[in-house]
Amino acid sequence: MLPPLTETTTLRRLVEYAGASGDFYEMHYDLDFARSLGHPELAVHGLLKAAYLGRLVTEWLGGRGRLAVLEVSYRGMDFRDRAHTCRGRVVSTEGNRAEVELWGEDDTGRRTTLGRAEVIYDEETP
Amino acid sequence: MIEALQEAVGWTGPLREDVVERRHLDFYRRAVGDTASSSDSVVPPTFTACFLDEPPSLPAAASYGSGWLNGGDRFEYHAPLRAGDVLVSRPRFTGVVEKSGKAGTMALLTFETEFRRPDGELVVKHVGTRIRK
Repeated sequence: MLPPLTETTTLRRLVEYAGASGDFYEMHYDLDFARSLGHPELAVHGLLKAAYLGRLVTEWLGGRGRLAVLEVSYRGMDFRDRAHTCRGRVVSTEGNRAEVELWGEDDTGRRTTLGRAEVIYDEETP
Repeated sequence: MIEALQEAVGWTGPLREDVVERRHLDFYRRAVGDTASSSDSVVPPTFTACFLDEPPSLPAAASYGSGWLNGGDRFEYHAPLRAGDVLVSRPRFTGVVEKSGKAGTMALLTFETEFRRPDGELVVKHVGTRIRK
């Protein structure tokens, strides 16, 4: 298992992410707009959840190798001020390559984000 | 109507050229909660998301549904990326399918973006699934 990573995305964080990424879609910081689309609250950007999963992998990997593929699928929305926990586990290793299963859970344990990564170690692992 | 989206497959978005800037990297790291790494040489793996066309500017999208959702993202890493690097990219709308489920009818759109150095070397390929509903 990879060491888990928990992030609680505040409105400030959503605004910082909008500014840094250039994605100013209003559903992430304008509650009236979000509600007009039928959403109960401000949703966390999918790509911000992908960034948390990317951190999970690179912080676990450290300087031991590099990421070849990061793939994320969003199965449910996550809303601001709710803890989101990213988890992962190595499912297979072949030579210096490993396949990692990734997922993100909301604060009820529901897997809202599914993903996978392919990593390449600098040295072959026994 | 899904037809307008189907006819738009092959659309390409604006051509852009971006520099991986240190100040931008700092803003991005803070925005994704990365307070540990501050090394100039380490670019977070999802950083090229900053150079995507989000939400997509595809004009035909307005003809279907009322809003955007993100269905998924795939990043393929082909060459290292560092502060100071220049990336050239242009998003391409590569396909659309319509699906009906518990949450109603929606269109799943696929966009592909290759981030290349000015000399043509592929650095990152991104494939995004975006939903109109």
